[in-house]
Amino acid sequence: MIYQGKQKIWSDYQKEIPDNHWFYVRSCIRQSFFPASEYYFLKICRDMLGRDIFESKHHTTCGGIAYHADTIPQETAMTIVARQFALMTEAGYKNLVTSCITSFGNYTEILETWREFPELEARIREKLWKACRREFEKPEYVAHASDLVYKLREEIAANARFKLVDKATGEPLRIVEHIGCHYSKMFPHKGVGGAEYPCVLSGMAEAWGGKVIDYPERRH
Amino acid sequence: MGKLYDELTKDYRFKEGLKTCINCGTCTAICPAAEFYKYDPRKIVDTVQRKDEEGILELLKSETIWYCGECMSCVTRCPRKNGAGLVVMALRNLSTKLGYFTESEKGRQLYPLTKVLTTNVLKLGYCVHPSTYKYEDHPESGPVFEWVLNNKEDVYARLGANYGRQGEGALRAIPQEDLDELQAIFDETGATERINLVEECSRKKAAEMGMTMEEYTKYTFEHCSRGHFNNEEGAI
Ligand code: SF4
Ligand code: SF4
Repeated sequence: MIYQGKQKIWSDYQKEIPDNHWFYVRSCIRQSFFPASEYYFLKICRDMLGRDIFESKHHTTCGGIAYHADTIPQETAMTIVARQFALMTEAGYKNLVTSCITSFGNYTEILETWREFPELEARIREKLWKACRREFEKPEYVAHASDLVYKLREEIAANARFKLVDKATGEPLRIVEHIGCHYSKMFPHKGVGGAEYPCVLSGMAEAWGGKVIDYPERRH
Repeated sequence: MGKLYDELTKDYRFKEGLKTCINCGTCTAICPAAEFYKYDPRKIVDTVQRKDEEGILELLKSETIWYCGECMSCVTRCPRKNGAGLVVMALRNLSTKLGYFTESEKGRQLYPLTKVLTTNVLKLGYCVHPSTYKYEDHPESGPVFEWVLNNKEDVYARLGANYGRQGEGALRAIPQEDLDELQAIFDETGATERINLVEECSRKKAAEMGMTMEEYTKYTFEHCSRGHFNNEEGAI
């Protein structure tokens, strides 16, 4: 099949999200301000849909806020992330799912930077060894929690008790979504729909009966 | 020390962020910070690209490099795959290393930020944490969140968190052995040195401004002079 125009761009931005077995890392902001969103993410994926999502009590922040507030050097942020990879490796997982969008951006940026500058990856491996005596494999797949929910959206819809529909009129609820900056701005091909046609959230809203309202800044 | 431009080229953000700028201004057009601040990422990238040493020195001491929100919208839109935001990160890094950050009001905010964020990471394992989050410092979080903070244990338990306890879960206590590893990472990768440098430069600046460290912390965190924003008269 030959894809053209939007369809072609769209096919470039599809992600093959693994179905199961994830190592989970929490978010500074989400656990502090929206702890129930983390709780229900795990409850839905694990208890309702039977997925294996592992959390180690030893994991920590990725350092993303401290890094983006310019308070820690880049190598510090990288080594903290390398330690999370080590915990993932030790636990026997290959897919990493982040609760936080800035973490997702951070992990992606770090892996891409290492791909381009392997000497930097080697230096971080050394620093992690010196500091923590740990070694790691890089994840085969990094996803944001929303990617996983997007992947499971039809299963969730099949189990949902309510639809995103106005009970009184039967009309779909109108939904305005906003995608966190660090989801796909640096690396559009890492996000569902890229930066041009982001659909990770709109895809969920539509699968659950809602209607997404577009607005110009949605793709800024 | 080599030339400032040469110093910048050692930063991986800079290697990633500056290819060839054609001065099209797309980054400035898309930039949310430029909508509010007197800020022009195109000019910053152009100054650096021209290897204008005097201009770079001025940037390192300026307010302007501290206006960027690091959202990276500019990366998506640049037709030449530059990242003005990445260039800014490299400039901030150099400004900090050379102690120039205390020359600007926005740069001086690095002190309270460093204190709060790095202390949280090293003591609690997360950058932000309700146990150190003060409503008085963040009234923008609103009265509902003030109520949450006043009833932390009950509210977090009800929302499925494991607040301050052992084991897994949101807001759990991070084991000391893991905090020790974070400290070792800080020591090994230059973060501890960076924290001390920011402290030392800020102490000097506070003395110069005739303030105690307590006054300096409060002032740098809270005070915002007129002139930063597009709709304000005057320059800082
Ligand atoms: S968008 Fe890119 S090429 Fe255009 S001015 Fe900004 S950095 Fe230069
Ligand atoms: S990263 Fe900085 S310069 Fe780029 S668009 Fe965001 S605020 Fe503007």
